[in-house]
Amino acid sequence: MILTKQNKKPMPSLCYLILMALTLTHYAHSAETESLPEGLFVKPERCVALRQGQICYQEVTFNWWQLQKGNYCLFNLSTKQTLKCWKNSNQGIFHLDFQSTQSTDFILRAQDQDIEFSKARITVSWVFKSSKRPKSSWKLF
Amino acid sequence: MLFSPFKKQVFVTILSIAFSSAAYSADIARELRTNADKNSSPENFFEIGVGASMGVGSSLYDEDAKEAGFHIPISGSYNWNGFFIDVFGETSEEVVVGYNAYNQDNWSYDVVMGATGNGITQDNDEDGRFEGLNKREGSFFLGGRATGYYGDNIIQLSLKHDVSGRSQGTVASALLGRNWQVRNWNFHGLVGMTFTDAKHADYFLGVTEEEADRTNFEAFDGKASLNFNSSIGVTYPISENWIYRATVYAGSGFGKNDSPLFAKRRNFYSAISTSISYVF
Repeated sequence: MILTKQNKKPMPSLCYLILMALTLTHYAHSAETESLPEGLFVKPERCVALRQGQICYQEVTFNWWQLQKGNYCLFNLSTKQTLKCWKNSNQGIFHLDFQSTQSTDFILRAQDQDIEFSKARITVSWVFKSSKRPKSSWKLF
Repeated sequence: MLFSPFKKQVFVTILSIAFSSAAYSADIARELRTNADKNSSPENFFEIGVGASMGVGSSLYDEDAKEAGFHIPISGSYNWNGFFIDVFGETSEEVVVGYNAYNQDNWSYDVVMGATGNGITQDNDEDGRFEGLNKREGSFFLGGRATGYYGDNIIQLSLKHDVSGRSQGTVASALLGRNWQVRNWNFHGLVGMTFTDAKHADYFLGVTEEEADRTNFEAFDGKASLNFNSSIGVTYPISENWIYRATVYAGSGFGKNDSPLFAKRRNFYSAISTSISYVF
């Protein structure tokens, strides 16, 4: 009897601890997710070329978070190309070898829908500004 | 516009005399270093930085003619209604003033004027090595140049004559340059030939009979010379205002360094320089 009581007593405590741990983990995860800002972010945001008009190269990383899970796509507004889609997800990471002569906007939008959730821009800048070289002109006369 | 805290004269000598080929690279330097192409040219800019250089060649002053030191590279380009001023401190023809007279699809024609800087003068002869010699003042060249753009290749032909009446020399050059872009690294290569006539060489490096009588130098008549020059370098944009550069130079000094004025004669020169500059 005594042994039985002693064996039964710890069981509720163990279950309680496991439940508490699971609950805390759930709340912690929820709190972490909810504390993340919704949006699309890219790092680095700037690409520097030597001369205006050159292709600028930059390895960039996109991060995005949304409160609601869903089917989302990362979309290049300049080239009108979908870079990657995620199914039933509320966050994602994407690495891109950015190559462009001009600043480019990227958006996170719903798959198969024209709904834009957030936008990020990679700014292309340069050291030497260039101008178009004049042609076919005599300047002496 | 090089500055070295020690033996400044030696390094100036190396750059001005032995590396005179680099002088004529100056004309093409702006195009190559800014990775210009036939459709676009760089607008106005000015840059200043810090750098380190080392080289070996011929020298009027130093018996080793080997030098290493720090320098302050200054470069710039100002364009207005076809007129331009190019300043490239890592060459001996530091300033080129010109007028862009005509442009075709692939060719651009300029009228240019440049200064050589002084030769031997009392100001740069601290050791009195050249005491008794006549002063060699700088020449002002006036001439023309044609620059052709074929893909990533740039060809430049130039012919200049001294209009100051001092050397009355003539210098001609033919240069071929090329750009490569590897990611954001901008490489350039340059090879060329430079012809210097006897009058130019004789004025700066000759020794007259009268000078020979007053000094320990033998009489020497300058001769026309043909030399090759080359450079390969890279420019990297660190940010919108900071750039990194590294360049290796090599070439010959045949003919000109036959002059007895040289303390050290070498038929070939080589140098390396690296710098970080702020671009305004």
